[in-house]
Amino acid sequence: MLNWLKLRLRALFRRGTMEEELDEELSYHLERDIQRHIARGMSPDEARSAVRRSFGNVEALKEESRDARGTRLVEDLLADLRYAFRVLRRAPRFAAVAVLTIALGIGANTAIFSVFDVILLKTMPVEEPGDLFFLDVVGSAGINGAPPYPCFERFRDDSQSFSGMAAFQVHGLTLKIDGYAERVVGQLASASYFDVLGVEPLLGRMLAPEDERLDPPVTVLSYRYWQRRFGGRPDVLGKTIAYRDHVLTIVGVTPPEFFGLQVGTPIDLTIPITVVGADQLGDGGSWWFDAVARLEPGVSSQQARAEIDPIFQRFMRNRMSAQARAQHFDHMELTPASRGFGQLRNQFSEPLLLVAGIGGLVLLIACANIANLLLARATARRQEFAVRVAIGAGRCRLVRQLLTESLLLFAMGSAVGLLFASWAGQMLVSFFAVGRNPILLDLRLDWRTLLFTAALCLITGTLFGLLPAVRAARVEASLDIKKGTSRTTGSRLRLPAARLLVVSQVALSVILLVAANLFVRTLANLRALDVGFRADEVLTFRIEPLESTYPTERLAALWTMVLDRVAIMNETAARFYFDDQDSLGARVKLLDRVYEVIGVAGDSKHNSLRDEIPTVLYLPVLQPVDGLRQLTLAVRTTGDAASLINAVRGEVRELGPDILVTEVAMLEQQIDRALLQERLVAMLSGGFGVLGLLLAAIGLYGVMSYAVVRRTNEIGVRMALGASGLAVAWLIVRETLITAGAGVAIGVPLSLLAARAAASLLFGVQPTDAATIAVSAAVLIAVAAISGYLPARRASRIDTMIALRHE
Amino acid sequence: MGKNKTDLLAGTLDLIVLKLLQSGPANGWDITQRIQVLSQDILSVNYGSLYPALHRLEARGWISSKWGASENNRRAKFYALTTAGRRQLAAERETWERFSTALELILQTR
Repeated sequence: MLNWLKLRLRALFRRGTMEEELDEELSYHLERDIQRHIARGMSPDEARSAVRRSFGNVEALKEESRDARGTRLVEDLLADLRYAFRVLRRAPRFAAVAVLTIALGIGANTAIFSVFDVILLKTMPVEEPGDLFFLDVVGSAGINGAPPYPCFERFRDDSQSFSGMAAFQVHGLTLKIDGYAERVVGQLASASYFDVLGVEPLLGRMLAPEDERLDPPVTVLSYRYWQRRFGGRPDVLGKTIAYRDHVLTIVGVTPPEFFGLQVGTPIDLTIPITVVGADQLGDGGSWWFDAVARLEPGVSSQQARAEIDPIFQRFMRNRMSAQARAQHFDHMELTPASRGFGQLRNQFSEPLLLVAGIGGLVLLIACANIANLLLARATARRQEFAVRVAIGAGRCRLVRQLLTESLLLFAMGSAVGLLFASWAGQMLVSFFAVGRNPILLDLRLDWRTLLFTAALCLITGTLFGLLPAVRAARVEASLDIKKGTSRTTGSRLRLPAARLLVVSQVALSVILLVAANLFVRTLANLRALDVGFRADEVLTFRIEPLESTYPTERLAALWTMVLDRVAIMNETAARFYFDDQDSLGARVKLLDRVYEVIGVAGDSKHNSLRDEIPTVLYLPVLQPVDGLRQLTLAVRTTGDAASLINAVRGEVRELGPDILVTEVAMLEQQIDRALLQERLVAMLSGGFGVLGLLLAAIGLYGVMSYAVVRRTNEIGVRMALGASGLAVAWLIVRETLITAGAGVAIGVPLSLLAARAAASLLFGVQPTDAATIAVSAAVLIAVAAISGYLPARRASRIDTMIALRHE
Repeated sequence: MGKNKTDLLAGTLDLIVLKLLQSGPANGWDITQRIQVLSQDILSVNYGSLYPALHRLEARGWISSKWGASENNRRAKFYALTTAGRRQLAAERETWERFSTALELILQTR
């Protein structure tokens, strides 16, 4: 087998050597024959001619020997490729336009796929992710996290269905390293966490069971944090980090691909969950963490659920009101954890599917352009094909050659497209990473993306290269060698294909434009909403005194209590509770304290721009209702926000040591973050709408220009018979408009269907909005008129005499 | 060339080449000579079928080739039987013997 492979590889790559060896072998044979004849008494000349006669056709023999090597197919392919390269080099402008078009189409789709893959498809980089499940408490109000910790412990100790389970919680932590405080994304986890996931250490060790005793307390760093904060130094093991009143020793680093279980929020370090203290661990009435468990081989998730739900029910018995139980603590469910937490997935699956669909349409339009270019070129090359057929190339062989050419084009386009995709991917990553809680996506051109691109390239290249190739192979050798480019006769045959492609391009463009229009308007509508506050020039940041330096007693002094208990409610609250009457001076009881309402404020949006406004009671920050550990301040700025934040940091430093200033952001950025999904869709659909329109315009222009060239003769006759330049120009423009009109007529109903499917993503605009559709159709017709005008002008300036002689 | 030459039966050239290489490596010219001598000039094989056959057998892995010095001290390509080739020779030989026995039986009937 190895020998077999070696021989064939040699045959392929050392083709020259193989040929020489064959020559040498045969000439040796020849020489021995001659010698033998001489030995038997012939003269050298006689011997030579006798041998040459008997040798016969040496070339045929060589050919047969080559076939015996069994690499004919590949050798032909290589020859085809070499030929295709030469052909493309001779038409650099065609090649450049085609490669660029394909690069845009495939690059855009590759970039979208890489985001799509990271958020929606990829499984966690852990061992056998399909066996992992989250253990969730479900009530009528929705899915919550894990059950109370004591119940989780019962699952862990009593159930047989799992090979392991771990509790974990991800949130921002404040640490002190080398005397400097900083904020990180921390993960508190059971010691079994890494075992359950099957994550092996890159450096040092992962958590061990005895680590839960916190004697001594330890921590495991993520690869990213290790690189970012410690420069990837291996002597980081043994270093200590202060967290609350613990001194954590770094014992290990996780591998680069591991980022936790939440896509978009990579963790920085992991600490044993027991640091939260016995009180919180013993709390039997709240959910505050999540639980991930690995099924025992052969156990189904239904069987596992059937085992743990009764444990949960026994635990919850008589623990809280029937109403609270039904709402929040009704029963257990197992949620597949193979792709991590679903938040990002739920939020973005619909918009990403939509964007992927739009990207697909753009690719189709781009491919239609390529098919058109190839069709036109095939006509220009008729003579070449005719010669090839005449000297014995089979039609099949011709189709193969042309297919090789189009696949080469698509491969080159895809290669450029990959560059484009990696750039676009970085743009998308930074697009996601805004605001106070940025979504950090780990995009990379991995083998999945490459495979996607290769498949896309192969499918589109074959599909859109085949039609022109098959048409081109239908040449009549005798006719076409003489004529070269044929005249008007061919136009009836070939143009419908090109026309059809352009009509479908226009139809697809209508869908793209309608989508762009709807989503840009959705974003504009959301932006124009009265949020109830002025977001411009407002800087927000959070002030957080370190717990180790400021125990609760000192905090009270820091926040300087004010005894007045007054409150302000918003309009919605005043309407809801007091019917807009007598709300001033009313007394409101909140958590055992009584407040006096001294004013009513205008309504403003809170968590989401799309949600209804809730009822709100504003209390002075100096009368905290529960233990206030941190404070977010909003500062209206007049100048440069960046220099202001330095001033803020300076002021805070003067207040005392160990007060952190975190989550600095402009309020406008926060609104951007809240509108991330809408902005993403509007930006991409808008960009793709323009791109699609441009490609369709190029397609129309190309087909009409080509029609003018092919009909030069006919136009000359018309003009010789008295047609004016204007009449000829109108002839071409009219054809363009008819083509575009047909496309619009097909595209409008299709876009109505598509828009209805995306209705849930719209805001303040109907999917069947007549104005949107009218505007889109009008834009397309206008662009079509312009694309048709240029060839039409050329047609009107055709010189009659030259045209009549035109072949 | 002699008059009583017989053309090879289709498929027998492979068997002949494998058999001749059983006694040791040989080059193409040697093989043509040996076929002629061993068959007492009844069979002759021409270059046109020998070399493609050699290359085909090599591509199938039944023989291997190596450049070496010939008896008149020129560079020549020598072919040798591989292990797979030995197995193939045994198999083809058995097939041939069964075939010729059968043919003989048929021809002997009156």
